[in-house]
Amino acid sequence: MPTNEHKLRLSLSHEDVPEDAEDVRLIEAAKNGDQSAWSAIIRRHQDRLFSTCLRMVRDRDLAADLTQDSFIKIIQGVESFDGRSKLTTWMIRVTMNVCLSKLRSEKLRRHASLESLGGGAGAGSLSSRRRADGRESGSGGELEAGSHVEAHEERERVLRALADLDPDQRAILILCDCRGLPYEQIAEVLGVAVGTVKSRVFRARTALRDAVEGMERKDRS
Amino acid sequence: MNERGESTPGSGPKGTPLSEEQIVDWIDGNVSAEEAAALARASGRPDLSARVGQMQRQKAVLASLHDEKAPAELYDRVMAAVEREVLLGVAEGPATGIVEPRLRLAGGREGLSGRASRVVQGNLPRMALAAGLLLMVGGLAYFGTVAYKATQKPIAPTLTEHSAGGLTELAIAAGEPTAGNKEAAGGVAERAGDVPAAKHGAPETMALADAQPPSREVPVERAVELAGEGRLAIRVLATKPENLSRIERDVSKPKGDRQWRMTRDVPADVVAAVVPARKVGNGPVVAGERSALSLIGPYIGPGAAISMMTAAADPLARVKGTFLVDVPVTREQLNVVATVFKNQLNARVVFEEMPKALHAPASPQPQDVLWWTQAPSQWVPRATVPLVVEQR
Repeated sequence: MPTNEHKLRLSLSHEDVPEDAEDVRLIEAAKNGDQSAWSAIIRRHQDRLFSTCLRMVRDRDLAADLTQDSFIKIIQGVESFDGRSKLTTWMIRVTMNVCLSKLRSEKLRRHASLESLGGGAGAGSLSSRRRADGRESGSGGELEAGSHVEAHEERERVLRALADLDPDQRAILILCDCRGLPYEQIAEVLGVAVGTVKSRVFRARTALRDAVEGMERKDRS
Repeated sequence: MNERGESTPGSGPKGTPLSEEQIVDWIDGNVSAEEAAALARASGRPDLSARVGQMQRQKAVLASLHDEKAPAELYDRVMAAVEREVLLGVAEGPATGIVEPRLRLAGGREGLSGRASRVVQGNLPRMALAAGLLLMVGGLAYFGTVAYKATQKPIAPTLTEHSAGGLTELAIAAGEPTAGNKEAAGGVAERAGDVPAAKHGAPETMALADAQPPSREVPVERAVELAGEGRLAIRVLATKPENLSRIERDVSKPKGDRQWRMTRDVPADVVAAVVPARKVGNGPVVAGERSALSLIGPYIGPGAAISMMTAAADPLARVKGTFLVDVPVTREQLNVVATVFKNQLNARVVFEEMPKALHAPASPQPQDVLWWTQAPSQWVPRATVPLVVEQR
């Protein structure tokens, strides 16, 4: 039986169609030498890619650099985009590779910057937008179950724990839980089987839970 | 149990372990309440529901993160970086879709009109590259021809000039007075050092490689005699000089029936006497001279190719090693030495007569000194013979 989340994803995928069609049109125009098409593509996707980079490296300046690098790689490699996957998926794949490559080379693992993770759960958040669009009825309900203070504290712990995770585990949680990509798209992004994605998601969530519990114990003591 | 040996939310001491996929589906909310209760019962873990709920809350926290607004200047930075990449040629213009700046004539005047002009302007980078390549190939061909001609004799001198000049060079290199060679001089019984160069009409010096008289090669019977006189040299013209180290290694090991030895300790005057000398003095440009070509860039572009060509033309560069061979003065043993080098280096081995005794130092072994303690059949004189290995 489809759940609310599943319905949400189904509805999102249906509503993505016009957006995808616009991406296809723009990318074809860009391939044909239309510079304004690239401008439009960059404007459409820069926030998404920047946020992905920011979640990965937790530093705004570095995230901007990585976003820039990602766009250059996207532009340089656009001929290799064959349209079999969504443009968004392909762009996130390139961006994630850029981030992981950077993290692996510089071993940036323990520089948590909660401020840079930024953003609140209020207006503008993904869940808020979903609710505002009337597309979500219960997925974010758990967050509102506790008091505002408790929710805020838990949120801070989760963000800190995410920042401390291994980059590969962080990447899969960002793709799955932050970006809300379906497992099939994550499999495309990471180039692995769907079953592998689920296994990695489970382990990343377990690691996140363990890290949060460790912080809770530390905070209590 | 997970891979770290810890208890997973789906496994308990009494229950049935749940798969990772089942737990993930539960966390994602893809199972109904009844199915979730059944899973919790099956797992035997009463706290499983709470654990899953905890992970669902954490997932919700992550899902609540909104997209960050990219810095205002990011778009401009990206576009600037893209243009920079295009200008550096890293990205292809047509692939990126970024229009490259095109050359325009001032005042709207165009040398070519319409489509032709657009074709020319659109292909300017390619045409420039092609022109550059053409220039480079032309330059290489020109300088290559010059370098090749430099290695050739400008005018074929007479045999007498060959020999006398060659011996003059040999003597200068050896740091000794000029000596003549009657045979090499074509039977002219005079010492080359006594004859002014002008008398021969030849340059004052001449490269030995150019002046190698064929008459220096002698048969092994004559080689035995010359070895006794200290006037024998062995020249090995090898096609596989890289095997030289193997011979050295083998010869350094003691072997019962081997009667010859080899050393690299060759005195400078002996080396100078037997190796080809560089061309010096007036004449065409060859390696060893500080030419304008060697100054303009021996390492890059056409200069590198020229350097390689001139180095290949340098006779001295062909020398791969110089040795002293201590060998019994017998035809058999000289042939043994020649055969070893011939086979190992795929070489042509030449016994050469030297114009005068070289006085190569011997390095006698105890058995050589105590020859009289050995059987009379072993009473064979030994000689130290210089051996030069050259690239064929």
